[in-house]
Amino acid sequence: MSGESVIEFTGFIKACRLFRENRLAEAEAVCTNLLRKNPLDQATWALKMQCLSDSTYVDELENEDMGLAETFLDQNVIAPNARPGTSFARPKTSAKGVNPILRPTTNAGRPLSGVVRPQSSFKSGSMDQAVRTARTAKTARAVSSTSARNMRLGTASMAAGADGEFVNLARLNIDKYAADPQVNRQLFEYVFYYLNDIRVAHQIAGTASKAAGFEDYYWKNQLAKCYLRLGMLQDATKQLQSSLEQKKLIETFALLSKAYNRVDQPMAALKTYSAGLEVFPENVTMLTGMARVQEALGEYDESVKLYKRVLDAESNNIEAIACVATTYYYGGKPELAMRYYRRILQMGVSSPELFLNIGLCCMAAQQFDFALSSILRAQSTMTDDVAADVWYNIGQILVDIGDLVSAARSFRIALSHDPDHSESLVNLGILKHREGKIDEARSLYSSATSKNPYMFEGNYNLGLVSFTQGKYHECRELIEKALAAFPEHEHCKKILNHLKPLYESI
Amino acid sequence: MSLFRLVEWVSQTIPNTSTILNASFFQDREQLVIGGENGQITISDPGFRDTNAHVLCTTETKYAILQMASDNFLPSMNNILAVLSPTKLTYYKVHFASPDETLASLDEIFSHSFSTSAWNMCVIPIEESTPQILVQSIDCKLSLFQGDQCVFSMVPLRALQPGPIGYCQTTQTLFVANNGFLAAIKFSLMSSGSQKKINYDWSFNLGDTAIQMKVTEGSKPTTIVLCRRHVSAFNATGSVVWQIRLEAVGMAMCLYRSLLINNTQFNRLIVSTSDDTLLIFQDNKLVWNCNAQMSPVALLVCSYNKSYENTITMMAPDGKVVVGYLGTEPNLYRLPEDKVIVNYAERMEEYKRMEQKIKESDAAGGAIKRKEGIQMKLSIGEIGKRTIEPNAASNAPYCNLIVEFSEVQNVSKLHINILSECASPSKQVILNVGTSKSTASIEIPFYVGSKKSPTSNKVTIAAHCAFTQLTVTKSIDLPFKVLFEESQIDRNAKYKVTIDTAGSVMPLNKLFSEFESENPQAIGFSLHGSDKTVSVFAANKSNRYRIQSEHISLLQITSRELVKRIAESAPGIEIGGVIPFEYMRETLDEIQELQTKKKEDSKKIDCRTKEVRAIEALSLNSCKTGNMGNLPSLDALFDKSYRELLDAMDSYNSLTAKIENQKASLNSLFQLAADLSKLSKVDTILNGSFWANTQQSLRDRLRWAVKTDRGNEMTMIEKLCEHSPKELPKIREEEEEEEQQVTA
Repeated sequence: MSGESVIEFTGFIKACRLFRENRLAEAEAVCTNLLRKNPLDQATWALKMQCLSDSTYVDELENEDMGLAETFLDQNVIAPNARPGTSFARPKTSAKGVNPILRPTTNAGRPLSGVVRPQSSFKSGSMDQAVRTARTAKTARAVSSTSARNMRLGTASMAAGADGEFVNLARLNIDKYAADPQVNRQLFEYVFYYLNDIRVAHQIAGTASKAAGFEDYYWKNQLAKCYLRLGMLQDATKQLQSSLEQKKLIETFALLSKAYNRVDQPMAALKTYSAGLEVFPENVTMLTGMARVQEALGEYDESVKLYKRVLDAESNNIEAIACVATTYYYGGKPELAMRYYRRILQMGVSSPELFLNIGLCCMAAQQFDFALSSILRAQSTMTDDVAADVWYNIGQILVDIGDLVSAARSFRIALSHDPDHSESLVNLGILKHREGKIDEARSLYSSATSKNPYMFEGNYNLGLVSFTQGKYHECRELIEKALAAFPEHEHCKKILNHLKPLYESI
Repeated sequence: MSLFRLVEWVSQTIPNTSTILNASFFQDREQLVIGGENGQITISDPGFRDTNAHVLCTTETKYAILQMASDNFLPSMNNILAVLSPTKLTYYKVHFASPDETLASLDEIFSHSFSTSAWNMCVIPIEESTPQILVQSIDCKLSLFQGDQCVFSMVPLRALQPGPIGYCQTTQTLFVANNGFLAAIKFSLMSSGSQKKINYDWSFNLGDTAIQMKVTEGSKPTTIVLCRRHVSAFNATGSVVWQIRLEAVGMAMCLYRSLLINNTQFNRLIVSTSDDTLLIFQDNKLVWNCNAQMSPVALLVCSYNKSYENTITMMAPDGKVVVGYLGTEPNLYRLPEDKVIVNYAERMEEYKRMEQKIKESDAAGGAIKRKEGIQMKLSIGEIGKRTIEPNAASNAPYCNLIVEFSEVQNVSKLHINILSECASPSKQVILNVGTSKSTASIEIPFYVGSKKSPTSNKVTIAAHCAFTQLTVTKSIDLPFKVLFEESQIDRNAKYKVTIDTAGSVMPLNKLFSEFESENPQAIGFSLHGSDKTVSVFAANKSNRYRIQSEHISLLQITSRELVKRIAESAPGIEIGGVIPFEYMRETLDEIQELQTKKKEDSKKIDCRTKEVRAIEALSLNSCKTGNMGNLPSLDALFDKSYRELLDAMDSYNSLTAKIENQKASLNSLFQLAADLSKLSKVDTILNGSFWANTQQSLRDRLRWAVKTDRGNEMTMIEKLCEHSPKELPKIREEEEEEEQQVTA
C-alpha cells in the first residue's frame, strides 16, 4: 500500500475516505477507475451508486412539489364538502380566523406565512382558476404531473457518464440485487433519487421488503415513498402504518402525516404528529409539521405556540423564527417581530426579504433611520423575483409618509417587475380612485381581481366602485367573492343588506 | 455573516492531514497529535505558555495514517501511541528528551502487519489489563490485538462496506455500523475468534451511511451514530432514544463532558455539517449553533491548559487544524460608521429634476418612445402680390406656406390635408418622398378665395403616412396682409368691439406698419376681392381701441391681430375687452329666424314635389290609356309646378347658405369671446369650433357644455363666459395635476 515515492491512500480506502469527507465527485471518479479495473467489485459499485444518489438527494419530507394535475385531478380527497376546520380547502372561518386586511394573503388565497414553502401554494378553487392564475410570469407551475424538480433529476441521469448510464436497469437482474441487503439500499436510492424511475424503485423496495421477511421498517418506508410519488396514497398509508407497528421513527410519523395531508385529512395528520411527539418528545420535525398544518388551517394561535415550542428545542430554526415574527408583525407588535428578524440576521442570513421585513418593522416601530438603511440594503441586494415585493412595500411606506405621487410611481415600478403583482394593482387603483379617476381605478381593480381571484381588497374595492356607479348586479357578485375571502367584513355585509331590498323590489 | 462563530485561537495548516488525536502525555493537560496521509506524525502543544503553535516533534513514518489512539497498550509502559495504517498497526513510545518537555521524539516499538488493508480500529479497555485494539479491515473482517499478541484475526462480518465500530464496556457489547446497519454483538462471542457466522444481538437498519459512532458508558449506555442525514441514539436494547434530522450532510461528531457541568444525565455532543455549521446538542436539544467557516471532518474537545479548557479542535479536509472557542461578535448593533446622511433639500431638487424629465418624456410619448416619428415644421414663405389661381379672389395676394418634413426615412408617400378658411389650390396634397431621403418639403400658396370670405387666418396642416399610420398635425397663422388691404375708414359701421389697455394707445400706423397708412388714429382694412371692410380706431383719451365693421365675422380676426400686435410692441401690458353678447343674440335670433323660414321652405318643397309627382303619374296614366287629349294642359301644369319647385329649392339653398354664414359669424363671435375671456385670464369652453363639424343643435352643444337644461341659449352662453366654466370631462391632461402636486 505504501508507494516508494508518494505515501497516500489508494483504491477503495481512498474512495471510502473521500465519500466520508463528502467529496462525492472525487469519490465517484475513484470508484469509476476501480470499476474499470474490476467491474465486478460490488462494494465499489455500491459506493459509486451512493455517490451519485447522494448528489441529487432531496429530503422526501420537504419535497412537496406538486404538479397542477396532481393538485386538481386527484381523486384522493375523501370528503368533498368537509366541515370547516377539517380540510385545507375550508380553513376555519370563525372569529379566530385571521383578518385578511390585517394579514395579507397569497395568490392562492392563503394568509401569508413567514416562510415560503411549496405547500403554501396549494390551490383551493377550481382547476380553471388555477390554470388562469398559473399563467403568471413568476409562479409558473408545471402543468404535468411530474414537477419541474423531478424532471430535472430525470435528465441529470442522462448526462451521467460519457459511456452511457452507469446502471442499465433494463439489463440488471433487479430481483437478485434487490434481495441482497448489502447493496439494495444503495441501488434503491440510486434508482429513486438519481434515475427518478419510481416504478423500478418500487419493484426494488418490494423485493427487498420481501427478502427482509416484511420485518424491516426501512423498506416499508421506502415503499411508502414510492407510493407517495406515484400518488397511491392509500397504499402509502398502509405501508407506513405497518412500519410504525414495527419501529416508531420520526421519519415514519412525518411521512404518514404527509400522506394524510395529501388526502386533505389535516386532523389525522395532527393526530399522527401528536403520536410521534409521545414517542419523541419535543421533536422538531413533528412540531414543525404540526405548526404548518395548523397554519394552513388558519389556526394561527396554535401554530405560533407550536413554533415557539420548536424554538425551545431548536433555537436556530429559521422557519419557526420567521413564522413567529410574521405573526407578531401582523398582530401589531412590530418591535417584537423585529427582535425575531434580527435573530435571523444574527444567524447569518442576509436576504433582501429579511432586510425588507426588518425595515418594515422599524418603520412600524418608528425607528426611521434604521428603516431607511434596511430598505436601502434590501433594494441594493434584491433579485428579480423579489423586486416587485420590495417596490410594493416601498410604495406602502411612501403612502404612509403621504408622498402619493412617489407611491404611485413605486407601485408602477413593482408592476414593471411583475405585471401580475395584484397588491400593487389594487393600491395603484386606490390612488387613482382618490384622484377621481374612477375608470382607471376600475380597470386596475378588475385586472387585480383577474390576476388574483381570491383577493379580498380587489374584489371589495371593485364592488364598492360598482355600487357607487349603480352596477348593483356586478357589485353583488364581487362583494360575495370578497365575503368568501373575509366572511366577517362588516362593510361587505352592509352593502349586501343595501342591495337586498333592491333585488326584492324587482 | 453569522454573529455566532468559532473564534480561532490557534490554527495551522499541514497538508495531507488525515487524522487528529488528543492525548495527555504530561502535566495533566492535553497535547494534539496530527497524523498525515503522507505518513507524518506531528505532536504539538497548543497550551504551551510561550508560543501557541508549539511543535514538540515531527516524525516521518512510511505508511499513510488512518487512525491513532493513545493508551497504555503495552504493559508497564506509558505514553504509547498506536498508529493504524492500511498495512500495519504500529506502537510508538513518546519520549521527552529535555527536562522542560519542550521537545519530544517517537520510537517505534512494535508493529503488526495485515494481509488485507485495515480501515479503522477501536480501543477495548480490559479491566486490570492492558487495553486491546480491535481492527476492522476494508472488507469488514475483525482482528483483535493485545499488546504484541494477536488474540484473533479475520473474523468476517456480513457487510460490504466498512463503517464505524465502537465498544461498550458496561454491557461488553461491540457495535458495528457497517453498510447502513447498526448491529450489536456480544463481545464474548467474538473473543473465541471462531470463523463461524456471528449472531447479532440486535440490528437496526439505519437507512443511511454511518459516519461516526460514539458509545457512552454508565448506567444508561447509549450508542450515538452520526449518519449523513441524521443522528440517532440507541439504548442497550436497540431502540431509538432520540433522533436528530440534519438539514445538511453531517461531517463529524464528538461527545464531550464538561468539567463544569458534571451532569451525566445528558449526552452532550457537537455535530459539524457540510454547510459549515457547528451544532451543539444536549441530547436532541440544540443548545448553540455557530458558523465554523469550514466543514470539519474531525472534531475534538480538548483542554490544552488551564486557561483554555474545553476548546474545540477541528480538522478540515484540506489539512487545516483549528483550535478555537465559541464566541460572538456583538458589534452588529452599533450604528453604521458610514451613516447615511440624506441631504433632503438636494434630494428634493434632484427629484424635481427627474420629475420634470419624466414629464417631458411623457409629453413626447411617454415610456413607449416612438421610433419613427415624422417631424413637421411650418413656416411662412414668400408673400406674392397677386395670384393667378382660378379660385382666388381678384387681385388677391398669396402667401406660400413652407411645410418641411424630417425623419421620413421609411415613408414614401405623405397625405397632406389642409384645414383653413383661406383658399389654396387644393385642400389635399400627396407628397412623394424620395427614397433614402430623410427630409421633404412642399410649398403651398394660400390666398383669399373667391367663394368664401375667410373669418380666420389660421391654417392647420395634417400629414398622414398610410404605411406607418403616423399622423402629425400643426397650425400656423397666416400674415394679416394676405387677407386684408388698406381701405377707407368707415366710422358708421354697425358692429363694434372695444379693447381697453392699461397704457396709452399706440399709433395705429406703427402697429400696422406694413400698411402704408399715416394716420395714427384710424386705419381701415378691406378683405381682398370683396367690399367687406373693417376699421380700427384708437382713442388717446380713454386708452381704447375700437374695431368697427359691417361684418361680424371680421371683428374677431382683426381684434386678435390687434391684441397680438399690442402685446408684441408693449409686452406685459394689460389688455381687456367686453364680450359683445348683443351681437351673439342678434346673430342667434337671425339664425333662428332663418331656420324657421327654412322649415317653411322645406314644407313648400315637400308640397311641390308631391304635386310634380302627381302630375307625372297622371301623364303616365294618360300615356298608358292612350288618351292624349289633355296633354297640352298637363304640360302647362307640369311646367308651372316644376318652376315653383325649383324656385323653392333655390330659396331653400340660399337660406342654408345664409345660415351657414351666420353660423360662421357666430363661431367667430365665440372665438372672439374666448379671446377676450382669455385676456381676463378666464378659460372658456367656447371657441371658434364650438359649433362646427357637428350635427347637433347649438342648444344641445350648450346643454352639454353648461351641464344644465335651464334657460335659453343666450343665458347659457353668458354663463359659459362669465364663470370659469367646468372643463370638458376626460379631456384634461393629468400632467397638470401632478405638476401642481409637485410644486405644492
